[in-house]
Amino acid sequence: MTFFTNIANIMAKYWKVFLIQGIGYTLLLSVIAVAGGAFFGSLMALAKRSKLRILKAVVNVLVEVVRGTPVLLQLYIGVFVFPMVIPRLSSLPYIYSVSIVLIINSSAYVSEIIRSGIEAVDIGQMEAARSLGLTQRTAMLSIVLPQAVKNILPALGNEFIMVVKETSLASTFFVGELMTAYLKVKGYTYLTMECLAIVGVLYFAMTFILSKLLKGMERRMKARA
Amino acid sequence: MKKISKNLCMLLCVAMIFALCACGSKPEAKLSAAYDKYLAGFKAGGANGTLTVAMSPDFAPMEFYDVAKTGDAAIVGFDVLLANYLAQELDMQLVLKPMSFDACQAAVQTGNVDLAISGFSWTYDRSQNYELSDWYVAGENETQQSIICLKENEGKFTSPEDFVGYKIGYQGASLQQVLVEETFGDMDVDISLVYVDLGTAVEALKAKQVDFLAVAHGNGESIIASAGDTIAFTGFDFEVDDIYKNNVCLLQKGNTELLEKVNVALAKALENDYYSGWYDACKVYAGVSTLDELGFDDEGNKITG
Repeated sequence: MTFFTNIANIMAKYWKVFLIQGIGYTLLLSVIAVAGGAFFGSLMALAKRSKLRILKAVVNVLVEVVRGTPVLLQLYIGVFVFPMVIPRLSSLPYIYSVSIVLIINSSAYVSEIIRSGIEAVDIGQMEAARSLGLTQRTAMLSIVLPQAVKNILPALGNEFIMVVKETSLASTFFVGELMTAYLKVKGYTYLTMECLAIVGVLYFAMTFILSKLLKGMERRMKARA
Repeated sequence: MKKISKNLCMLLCVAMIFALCACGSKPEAKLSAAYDKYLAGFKAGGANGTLTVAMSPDFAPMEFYDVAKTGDAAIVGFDVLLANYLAQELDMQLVLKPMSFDACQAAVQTGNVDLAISGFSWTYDRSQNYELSDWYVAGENETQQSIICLKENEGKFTSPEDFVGYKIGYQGASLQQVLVEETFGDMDVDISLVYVDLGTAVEALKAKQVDFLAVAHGNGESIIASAGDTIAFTGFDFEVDDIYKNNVCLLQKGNTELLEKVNVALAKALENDYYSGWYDACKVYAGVSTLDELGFDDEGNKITG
């Protein structure tokens, strides 16, 4: 029973750290990562389909490296190596470097989501459009992409949920998200399990609500199609 | 209808979390009085550029967060006072960079920060890869190294032989690891349990996954204060070599210019006996001791004599 009284006490004293700072920064980082990821991911997906061999190779290597190494390692490199390349970063809080890393990471995954979304549209659609006299460009933009979006959006939503959980690794640099809130409070109270329980419930609440919202969106899209 | 009730359920869940928080935070006796006094005493905003210091603020009373404060000021503890003192002596502007204990070392190594001050002990390997400052001492936090256990074993284990057949845990890459290996390495004691941080280790102790934990005495006091009646000191203290008794600051290998300045400042602090007052103030702040116990008045002034 002391477990629950401890939780109540912790929440009474530190609710701001968990609910406002913690959730605020977690959602902020996730939105930055996914929005940036969607933008650069689209560019990368385009690059992958381009006829320029070099561009294609560079993007492919980047995607493979990013997807093949742990996020935590990427964060270390981002925080300690990026400032050597971009001196401006060294005078800014770590959240900037962390955001950049998360955007790069997310772009790699999003580019794959977009590529597979486009490839999932039956090739016959493109062929039919082309034989009706549409240019490659118009066929892509008005026939293939609208159908691809239906495949892409749900996967993009899942990526968002993944990123919400991945931001927890940024706590290594105390950027303020939910896992940092855990570290802060645990460091002072030494009540590890209680703090973990609080953070666990909050992460679950966030991802659960997000996935319900996404389901709703998917349903509406299906109804319209 | 089904959909509405589902949504209602979710709303209720969220509302409950908020309700829990709304139980209200009562104003507490000002634990930070003595600490704030010391901090206010330092001259801030030096002219010689910035001094960036990495620390891992999850280690009361050496460095931890006071969530009532905002920004850099929220990071408090003994090492923060020391960092402020060094910035004053070097006439530099202090910037604290909080990060995990591991990351602190990486930050120094890559030159991302000037100094890491995070309760580091002197070890041979560290001295090979970093410039280590002269020592500073945080009260008995490091001079006394102890073993904690569940309450029922309090005082029963006093000599190294008593631990034969049991499991002793410790935080990885810490001074405690060195001590445990030196003391129990040749004996039939299971020392294979290494923890990433002390909090996890304490949970393992509570869950009886490990029988004992090696900790610095000061941290042990913090742990016991939080755990209430469940954890106690065994009564066994390590024999600590002098070189381990103190803490050092980490600097990038080759940064001897800053090292010399830091060492001059540390010598001055030692000579003027600043450390014990700072440490006492931080112990009060971390809730280990009361102002009264350590000879402060209510405003945080040290009562001398």
